[in-house]
Amino acid sequence: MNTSNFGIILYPSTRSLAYLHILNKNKIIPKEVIVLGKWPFLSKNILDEANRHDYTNKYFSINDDLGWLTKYSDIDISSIDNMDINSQELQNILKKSTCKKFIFTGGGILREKILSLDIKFIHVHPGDIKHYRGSTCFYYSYLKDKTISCTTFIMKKELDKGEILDIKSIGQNIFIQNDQSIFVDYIYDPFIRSLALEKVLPFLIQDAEIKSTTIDNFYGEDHHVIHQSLRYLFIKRLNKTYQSNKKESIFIING
Amino acid sequence: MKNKNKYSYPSIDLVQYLDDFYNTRISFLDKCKISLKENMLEIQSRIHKKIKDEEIIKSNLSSLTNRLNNIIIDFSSINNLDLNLILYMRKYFELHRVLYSEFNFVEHKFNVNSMKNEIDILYKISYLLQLLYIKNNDFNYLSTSIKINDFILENFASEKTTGSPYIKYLIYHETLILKKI
Repeated sequence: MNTSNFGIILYPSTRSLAYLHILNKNKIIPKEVIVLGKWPFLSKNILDEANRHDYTNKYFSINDDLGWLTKYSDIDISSIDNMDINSQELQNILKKSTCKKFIFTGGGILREKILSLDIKFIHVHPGDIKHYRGSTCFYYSYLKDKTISCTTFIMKKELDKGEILDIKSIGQNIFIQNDQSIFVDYIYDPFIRSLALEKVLPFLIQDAEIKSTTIDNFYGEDHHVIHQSLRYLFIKRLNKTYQSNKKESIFIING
Repeated sequence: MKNKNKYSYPSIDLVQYLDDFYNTRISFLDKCKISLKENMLEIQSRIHKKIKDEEIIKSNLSSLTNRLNNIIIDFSSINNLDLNLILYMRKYFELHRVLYSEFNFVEHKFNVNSMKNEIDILYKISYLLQLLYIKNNDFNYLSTSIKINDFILENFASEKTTGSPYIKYLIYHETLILKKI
């Protein structure tokens, strides 16, 4: 394992688990881990479905016990009961931190106070940020033109705006069954983000300044949380492209 | 309908949800006793004709209803000003689940002292969002329109919705759009 010089803020979500999995897979351990809220957090229906469909082996470890982190004495771990990502407690920890880069795992919008700290917060957005804003935008982009992208960027004060590190297109060959009710939002979404995150890990582990492209004029509209009926249509369309003679997978197109 | 209003990160049985969703629509259309043989263009022409008739009766040209009427009637030549009004209303509904009956066109914002969620305003903006979806193949418009239609069917008395000369066509138009996708 290689200790890095970045930190990660772990919001209790499967996105955090997906990101930890990708770091672990690449033998990278963050220098600092800030755990928000109560862990373990996974609900029974998530665990049941994860077991039934073997999500741990197919995608990422559905294990919300963070005990394994403590075996790495190099990691500085702190916990805050407060789940508010803009809390004063979190700000106090960040102010004392020696990490200048933190991976953000979600849980709301970082406010001006926290964004004005001398820290780069790295976020992966499930869409091409230049066209699509909003947390469910991959549904919209796939329904519109069968594309799904992830943008990794350094967050700015404005929602989903910032300095772009990378934009990746996502492909998949999957068939979502009727009993996979949590799959898209709790597995697919964090998994594609983690794939995109993996591509910027070299930037994160280097001490050098992160290379980014500043984009001020986002012309994409806000995409509000998509209606259930359209979520279903998304799944139907995704399933139609499934080729049973090929391996089930979710991947980055063109590396 | 089970799971209604759970738009954000649900862990629900989508198949069951869809059954409930379509059953609500079908049962509503059954109550309205309208012919379900018309196509989308025929439905649009019915709505436009009714709105033109309504326009002749009304006199307050600066009202929000009239502005929406005009946008619907001249939809093929919709301009940025009209589009911005629709986008404002769409965003407002998404954020607050409320639309007001009066709009200050100078300050470009709702008069928050006016009536909340008049059915007339709701169905017109929902219909315009449907038209914008058809024009642009942008599901962002369609998603909000379906949410507004959910809102109408859940929050207004059945007599008011089934008795409206518009709502039945709005819902029927929605089912035709969804069938086509």
